[in-house]
Amino acid sequence: MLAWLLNSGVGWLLTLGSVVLFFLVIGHLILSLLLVIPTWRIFVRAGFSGALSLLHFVPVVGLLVIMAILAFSDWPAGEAPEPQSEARG
Amino acid sequence: MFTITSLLALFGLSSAFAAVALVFAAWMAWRIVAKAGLPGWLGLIAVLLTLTGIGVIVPLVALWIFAFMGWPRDAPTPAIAGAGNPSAVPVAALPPPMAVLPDRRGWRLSGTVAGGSVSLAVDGSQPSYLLTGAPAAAPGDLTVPDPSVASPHARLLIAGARLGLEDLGSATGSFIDGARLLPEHGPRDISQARTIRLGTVDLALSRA
Repeated sequence: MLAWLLNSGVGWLLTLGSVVLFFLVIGHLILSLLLVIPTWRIFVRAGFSGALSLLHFVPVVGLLVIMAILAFSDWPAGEAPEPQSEARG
Repeated sequence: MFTITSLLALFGLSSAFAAVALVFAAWMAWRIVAKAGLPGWLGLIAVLLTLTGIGVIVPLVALWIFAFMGWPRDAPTPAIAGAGNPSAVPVAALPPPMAVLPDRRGWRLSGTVAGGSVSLAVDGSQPSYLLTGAPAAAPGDLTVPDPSVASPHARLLIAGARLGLEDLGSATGSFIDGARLLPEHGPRDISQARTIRLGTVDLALSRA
């Protein structure tokens, strides 16, 4: 079956697809690694587990989930006071 | 024709999703940066830079800088004397009181107030006593009937053979042998003190 596919006219297309997919996966892993390291530190400084930064390996929505966690949850390690609350005293 | 329409619809849908995600991400970046104590618009700009030709490089660099820079949130805040936020100031509590005092003698605070004299017995039956200018409302309340004494004014704490004093943020202040005791000082050992002053009232400290 594989030999037939490779010898047929779509063989080159499969090869090209595999190469593209390979580089997409490698690129995603490299980019994720570049994002995981600083995000790990941000999570730890915020008081969360640094392992949450591994969500970067989830394509497309991983970054959004991470940002949502950091943006909409109370940081266990404390947050800077909001300017509005300071103004109210 | 159908294919072109489908492609345009798919492109429009993808663009709409990307636009919503971008706005959402910018909003979240604003909040994250603000939680660290930085201006929120810095996060907004970092995300919006993805629209430019420099793509993800600058936001990626900004992320690394943000992760490893000092955050204003972590900067030490100076303690404010008399501020109404005592929880922000760490208070060094006295050790827990012992069940039985090794020295069964109590303490006595005596002095002169506006209407005469006052003598307060601190017998150790309570782990702490409240020094107040108001009439006693609880077994641990010790009344110092003077206008300069706040209600409550200070707290006496008993820990073994030691006696501690903690100012509770009174406007007229508490003093140990003439030295001002501030609320952020927490409890201070006054076992060896001779006099404490609450407002304008001097109280001599002695063993009963």
